[in-house]
Amino acid sequence: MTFAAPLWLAAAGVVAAMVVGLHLLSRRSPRTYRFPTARFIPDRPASAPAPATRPTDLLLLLLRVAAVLLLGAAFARPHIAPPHRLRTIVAIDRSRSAAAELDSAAVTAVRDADVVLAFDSVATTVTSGGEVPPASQGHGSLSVALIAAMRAAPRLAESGDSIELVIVSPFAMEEWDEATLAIRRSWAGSIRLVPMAGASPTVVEGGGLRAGGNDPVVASVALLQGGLPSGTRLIRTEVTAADSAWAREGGTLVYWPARDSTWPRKDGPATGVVAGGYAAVAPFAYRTELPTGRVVARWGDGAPAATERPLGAGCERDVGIPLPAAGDIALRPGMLRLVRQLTGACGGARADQPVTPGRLDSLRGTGGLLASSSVAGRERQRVAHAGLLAAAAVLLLLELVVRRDRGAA
Amino acid sequence: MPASSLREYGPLLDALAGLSWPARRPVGAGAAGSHPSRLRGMAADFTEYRPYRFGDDPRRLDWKLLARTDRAYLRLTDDNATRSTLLLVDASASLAFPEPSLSKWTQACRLAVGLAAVARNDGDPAGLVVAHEHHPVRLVPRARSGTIPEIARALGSLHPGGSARLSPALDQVRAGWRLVLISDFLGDEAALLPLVRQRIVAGAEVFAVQVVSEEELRPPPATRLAVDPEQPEVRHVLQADLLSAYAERFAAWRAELRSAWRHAGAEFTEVRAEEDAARAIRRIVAGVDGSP
Repeated sequence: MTFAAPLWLAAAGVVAAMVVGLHLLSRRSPRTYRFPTARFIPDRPASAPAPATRPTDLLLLLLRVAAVLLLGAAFARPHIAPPHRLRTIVAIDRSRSAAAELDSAAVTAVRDADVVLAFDSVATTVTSGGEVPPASQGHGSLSVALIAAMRAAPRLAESGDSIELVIVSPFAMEEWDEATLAIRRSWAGSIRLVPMAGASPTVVEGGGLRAGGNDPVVASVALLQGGLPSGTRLIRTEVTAADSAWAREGGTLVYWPARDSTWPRKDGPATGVVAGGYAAVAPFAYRTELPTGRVVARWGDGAPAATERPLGAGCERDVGIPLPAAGDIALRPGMLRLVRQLTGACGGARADQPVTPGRLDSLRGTGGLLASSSVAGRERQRVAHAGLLAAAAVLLLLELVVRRDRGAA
Repeated sequence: MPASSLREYGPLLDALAGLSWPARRPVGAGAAGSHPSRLRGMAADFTEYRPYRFGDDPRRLDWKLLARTDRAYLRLTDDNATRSTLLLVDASASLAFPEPSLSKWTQACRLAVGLAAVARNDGDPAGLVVAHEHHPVRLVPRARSGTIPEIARALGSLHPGGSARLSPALDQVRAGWRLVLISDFLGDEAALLPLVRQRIVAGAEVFAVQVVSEEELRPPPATRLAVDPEQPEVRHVLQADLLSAYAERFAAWRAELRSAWRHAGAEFTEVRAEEDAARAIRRIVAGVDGSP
């Protein structure tokens, strides 16, 4: 055990010695006694300092000295050094950017890890002996991985003096955000980056548009440059089992019903809708209650206008934006951009190209591994500090009780 | 604590039944009672003849003697009268000792009720004045049967406290009364004695009863800071090695007090708080101090 401020301990020792000295050289005031004939007692000073030939009230002395020493120890901030051992945290990318299967480097990293974190847009801890979950359809986020690692580090700090963070990821551009570097700077050590294979794009044939006659969406799609993406099937009529099966293969099934009775209506019209940073402003006749899922588009008041649910390797997207058959709303540039967003790939636009080498170097960092004391020592010290202070307070309360009892006796 | 009803004083009153408290000196004019009066009266007991003088009541002439001898003589007899008894009880804080039994106050109450009962045995009116700082009590001497229970109730409702003075209560004592002071005389005894002397000169009989507890005579040897309950500024350390000096000073003061009161013409009796009350009352009535 070491002390961050040993002078406090020395001061406590001096004070304890003074307490002992004062206890032995005490000025005692005798107990009060209502005595009607007190006037006949020969006069003598009520109290006088005198060295005690034989210490009395040893329990009181013990309590006082112990309380002083505990207070000194609390302020001296004791620290118990952890054993010399390297602990490893592995954050493994399980987002849509990562390959479905782990390669050998990833498997090796996971096998040697003390804590395994699987992350996409959220991070989960893989229990000991548990399977690493398969890659999801969600966005990956290196910031999420870093935050999860920082939260896991204090648990390992008690059993090792240094912590290594290993991130196994394809490091796709879409996993990097504005906060990543700032969060990275909070990890006071270098990070080992293990690249893994990225996800291979799934090509599903059989996309297209199914709609009735005189459909405004058909007109919008016709004006899109390049038409619908190849992996997207836009349904304006009824969704069939075959459509769902196709989506399960990896397709993007967009259900944008032309009739207005598919979902229950909500009160009030709407004038604007936003999707992926693009907005369309027009007098929309009504709004609908959509099935729950990831919100792809929102009305002006924040209510969902389109939601997306994973379906096998693909997804089903429900769009509740009513486009009138009359008028040119469907042909306006803003609406065309919105349609482009709503018919895009599952999970939104992808950016699978790798992060630049400069950013990777920033993420990797320089210097040694993370020292355990920098993440858990403070926490442990805080707990020890509070415990010692609480113990001192209890002893002082006991001292008060014992002193009162002695006084009453 | 003192009893608040007469029933609880029953054993004491039984022990005092039939006890008489004769007056030390002939009493003055008053209702017919058991004490010899200074006046000649109409009682049946013959004392002497005296020649008739002008102005004498002709109804007191011995007509048979006049008819037989032709000489006019008055037939003189003794007269008996009552003596009102006023009990003046000190209820200051010094009587609330020792704690928690308060045996000094309990004994003072027993003495008051017992002495009132003895006075009533002789047909004398009995009254009570309690000197209490916050709740003074004044019961005018009466001869009716409910007097003793009334005194018992008045004493039972009080708890001694404060630093009441006894001397103002002496204004209520008339000449020829019997005054019984029940106190520890640790309050205004210096101011009290001259006033008592005046009452004695005026014809009152004064009985001073000093109540002292065993703990005051022999305090426990533990070291303590003794504080006078009536004068908190009086504080002295009571230690085992001071006990003998304390006892000497206390005994000297008591002897001086006893001497001063007796010199003034009062009967002085010291009563232990732990003493049997009936026995103490018999000593008081008989004028036997019994103190060492």
